[in-house]
Amino acid sequence: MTQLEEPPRSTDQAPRRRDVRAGRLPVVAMLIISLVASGLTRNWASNWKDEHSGNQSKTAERGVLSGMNSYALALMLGGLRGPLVMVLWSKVESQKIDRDLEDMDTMIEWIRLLQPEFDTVHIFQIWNKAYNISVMMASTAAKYQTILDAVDYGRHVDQDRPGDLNINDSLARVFAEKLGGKNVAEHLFYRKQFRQDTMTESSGQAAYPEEQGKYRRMGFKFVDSKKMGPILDDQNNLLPQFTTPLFDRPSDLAGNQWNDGSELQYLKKYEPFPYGVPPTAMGYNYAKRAEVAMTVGGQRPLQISDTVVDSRPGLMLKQWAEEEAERAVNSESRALGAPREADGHVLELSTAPATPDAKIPDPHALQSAIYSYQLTARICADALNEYERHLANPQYVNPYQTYTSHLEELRSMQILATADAAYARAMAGPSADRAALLRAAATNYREVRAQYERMLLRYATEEAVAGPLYRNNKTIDLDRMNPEDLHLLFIQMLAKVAQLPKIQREYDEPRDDYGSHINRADARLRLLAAYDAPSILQIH
Amino acid sequence: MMTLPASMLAAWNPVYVVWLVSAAIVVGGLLVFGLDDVRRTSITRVWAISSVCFAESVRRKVLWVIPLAILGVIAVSLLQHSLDPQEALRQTIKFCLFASCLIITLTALILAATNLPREIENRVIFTIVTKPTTRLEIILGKIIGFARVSGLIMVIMGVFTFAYLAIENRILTNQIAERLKSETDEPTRRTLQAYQEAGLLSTKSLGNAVDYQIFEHAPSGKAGDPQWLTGAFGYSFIVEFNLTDQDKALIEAAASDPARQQVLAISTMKLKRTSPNAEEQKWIASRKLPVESTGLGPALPGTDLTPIPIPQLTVRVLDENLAVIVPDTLINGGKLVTAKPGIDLNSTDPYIIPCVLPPEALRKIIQSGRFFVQVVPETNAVQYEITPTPVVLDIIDGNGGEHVIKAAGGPRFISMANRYGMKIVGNSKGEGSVAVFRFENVAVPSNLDAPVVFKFRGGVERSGDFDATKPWSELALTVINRDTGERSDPVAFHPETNHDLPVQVPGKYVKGGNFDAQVRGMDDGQLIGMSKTGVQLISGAHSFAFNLLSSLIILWLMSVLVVVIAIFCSTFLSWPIAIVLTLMILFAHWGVGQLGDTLTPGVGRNVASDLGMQDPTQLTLFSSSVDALAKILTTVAAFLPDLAKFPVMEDITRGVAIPPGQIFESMGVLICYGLPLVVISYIILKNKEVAP
Repeated sequence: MTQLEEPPRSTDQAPRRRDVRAGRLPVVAMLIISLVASGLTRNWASNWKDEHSGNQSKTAERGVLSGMNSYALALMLGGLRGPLVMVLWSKVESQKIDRDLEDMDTMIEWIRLLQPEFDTVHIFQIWNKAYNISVMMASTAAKYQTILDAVDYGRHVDQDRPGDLNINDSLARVFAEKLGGKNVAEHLFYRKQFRQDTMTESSGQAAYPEEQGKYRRMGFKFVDSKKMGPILDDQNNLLPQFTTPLFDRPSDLAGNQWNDGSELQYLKKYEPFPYGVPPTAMGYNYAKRAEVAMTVGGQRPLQISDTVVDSRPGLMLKQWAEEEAERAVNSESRALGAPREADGHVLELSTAPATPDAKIPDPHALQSAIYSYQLTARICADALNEYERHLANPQYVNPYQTYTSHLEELRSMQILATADAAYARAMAGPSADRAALLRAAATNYREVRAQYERMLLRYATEEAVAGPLYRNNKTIDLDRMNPEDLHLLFIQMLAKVAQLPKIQREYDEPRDDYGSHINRADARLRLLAAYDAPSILQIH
Repeated sequence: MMTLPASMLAAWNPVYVVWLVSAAIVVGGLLVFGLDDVRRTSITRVWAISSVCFAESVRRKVLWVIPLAILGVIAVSLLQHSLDPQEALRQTIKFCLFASCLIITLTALILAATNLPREIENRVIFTIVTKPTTRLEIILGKIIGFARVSGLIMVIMGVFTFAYLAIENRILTNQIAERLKSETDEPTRRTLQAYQEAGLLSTKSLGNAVDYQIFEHAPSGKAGDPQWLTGAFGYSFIVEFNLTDQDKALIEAAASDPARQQVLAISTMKLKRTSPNAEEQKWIASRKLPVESTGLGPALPGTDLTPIPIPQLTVRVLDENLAVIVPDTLINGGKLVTAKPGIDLNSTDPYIIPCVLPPEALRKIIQSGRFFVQVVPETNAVQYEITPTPVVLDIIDGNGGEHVIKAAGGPRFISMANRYGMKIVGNSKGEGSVAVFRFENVAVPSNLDAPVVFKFRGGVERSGDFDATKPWSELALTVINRDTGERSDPVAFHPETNHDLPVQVPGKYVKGGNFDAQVRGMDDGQLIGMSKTGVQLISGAHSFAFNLLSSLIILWLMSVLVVVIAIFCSTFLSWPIAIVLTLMILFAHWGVGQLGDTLTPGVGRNVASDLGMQDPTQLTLFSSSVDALAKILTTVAAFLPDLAKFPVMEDITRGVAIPPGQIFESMGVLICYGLPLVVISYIILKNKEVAP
């Protein structure tokens, strides 16, 4: 039998091997030194970039640590990061087309880690998750969770690259448009679920007793990326980790705006949130962070213009005010014993006839309504300030033309909410200031009715009626007319519009829209025995 | 060697051809070239050569790739995001097996492809060939040596995979237990409980339905009861025909003499015709459907002047895959099949609705022999009654005689399909259409006192109308035991697209293995698509460890094939080219499969027109060349090994037991391709001058 053996080794091989090893040592040492040097260079570059980009100076500490993941990953992949990302992108897209969502989220997370420096990637993926993938889900709850996944993604990027304008802007849009926006059919579910998810169990139960046994926490992972939990404490204040400033304001900074590094900096002043934080409020917070990152930090937006970024805080506060007003009237409806979710305009009219002495079957809901009315008025005031700040910047050409109606709507909403808050407080029961509250309500209802009537007369009346009636008459100045005269003119206008053929009535929609506010104010004024007036609905 | 004509080869199944050629090479090669070497082959020497290869591979620090792969798997699985715990574990299984697959095949490929060329280059081979070892022993020794290396990596990765999955399973199971404490939604609780009871690492065998139909209304269950279908709602039925020789002769005669003979597909059905509502009228007008004449002149007072549509049908002739055999333009002159107008709306007599089949259609039917007739009710405001014998073929011969060919069975009900399968329409009152999965003599779990679990998988095309009080889309499963007649309560569950969901049902309803599983949508406006495997019964639980072992064995068999091909290539090529050729041989079959329809005849013309070629000669030359190349590629690929026969991940990641037959099938591919390549490698090496 033949035994195989290894070939004999020459005796002079050992020293030669030692030589080879010795020769390798400098190469290995050089590799290690290069690695360390490239890491240091990267740190230096990153620090330099942060120092020269406004308020991002101290965020570099966080950026380095989290950035190391992808840096290490890129090194581990030995330069194959690009091809790998290409494969992942095409696979994600093809799986999206096939609606095969298994492991897709994992691949998107890998893309985030492999392309951390590309804002456009993150903007796309946040949008992709919130808009494309969420709609593929069968259930409303699963859609909601997918949208929160998009938020989760954005927040991870925000932690890696704190204060990034584009990420904050994307987050603002997801919160305001996707979770808080009225255009989405599921918004009734999203808004309520989100508010409750921001609260502790005990606070949530106290705020929403009608939801007991039905509510379950979903997908909201702000505090811990692995675990769902609230962002409010038991007193309904934001948890300290979201509001503690990370940076001191530079002494030489002009203006009063400054991102202090805390994630929910701009919501702090609205504490406490006894009914949870609405998604539109979150949208405002991130939009404001984005705007300050641009105006103070000097960052530039991608894919959108400076004007859009600068205008968003005001727009989102307006949206928050609208949501809060809708919530208020829903609560008032519930307080009056009609526990149903419905469109704000419908409930405005159905609750309008309630007298100040009306029986309140659900006092808890009335308190909720009072809170929301008051908050609405406050947010309107803040929104007006935001619009003024935006419009004060001369770089935005002819801005008044765009936002005049917004400003008028906000002023009207503020007055209506003030009136409703006073009326609801008077409904809450006997109190020392009840008479003053009712007087305040009457004054504000009268004023708001005039506001809305003026808006309709000015912007939403057919020329065939407006021209002969008041527009061509130089002696009529809508801004100087007192509420009573304005109301009379408004009644005349309605009567003439009613005579127009249906096809010529091009402003029925805004009349319906503002008409519900006018009718509510009108009904309340009648109840408050101010004076009598016909309803706008009578002409339709 | 005698070669077979190309036409014969094309007609043959490539699998048989490959086996035949393989056997010929093995027997012929060894008898002609290596009978002496076969006789002299010593297992000990082969083992010794393999040990040298194994030891050398270990010395080359090949095993260092394992900790790297393990680290990679851990890193990647920590970064995963998943919809639920079951999916999380499946993803981890996928990562582990993918990493194992990658390092085993790559290591095998590189080691095997580089070994012989390197030994020849640095003359190590001298020390072997100058000893009394045969070239056959060298080839076999190297293959076994590298197979041992693959085996070692496989064992280490297998142990790691099992341990890592066990840890992750424990973590996820604890998370499920935590979630169950606070979960209030009942269907979600049931799903989580099913995960907890079955275990996330469970391996199961699945019982499949033998039939799957979509009914607009739930069937009564009584034989012979008719089903009613609403026109233009996407519901239809099919009936099967199996022609005898006598039938074919009759039809052939009719096809040969169309002037005097005729074949009709006659649908006989009662119809409920109602006055169309406003919506239906719009639809009828937009589709320009024929309506009953309302007469001339003014109508009498109280007369309903609403135009009443005349009932219509679409008739299609399909093969067993429901692909069209006869083009629609040939059937009934390309027009919809229409009932006779003027029949009293209140008549309860069945309508006889004939459809003319022209000679061209008849020839296709004769050629097919077995075919299906699909009948689609097309008219709004009409309900069609479908009896057990709804359609026959009627042959009118030259003498006016009539011959009836009946269908082979009763009607099968179907609906329009989306990408996930046939659709059902949801209804919040539970009155929507229903998918019925028929199980016959299916194996059931031994313990029927406990709930049995069905696996649901489908696609949600539309979630349904939004309802703020219902955060979850809902389906309901009802099981009816055909032996006992017992019917379970509907079990609600929340579907997601392409996502496996366990649904628990009390065991008694599946006793005996003959039962129907009915799925209904419980939300208004919901559209759900399902295939025949949309509902499967989990009939048995198996050991995950055993399933993992089966999967790894398949992986190892694949790595051995890689080794054999790589060694074969390295006997006549330098190692870089050998690696490339090995990859080409391995992936050609799969790659051509991926190209799919792009290689069908006519591709040349498409490519030429894409390139903007105008000159007819140039165009013909180019397109015929591309077509010929495509044909060669397709033909060659058909004779190369199919990697799909080594399904390492498919079943195990779905939690399904790998059937033992799968291992044998993989082994078959290895033997079929491996043995002849060993013999060819041996012959090449024998005739190669590797030492002075």
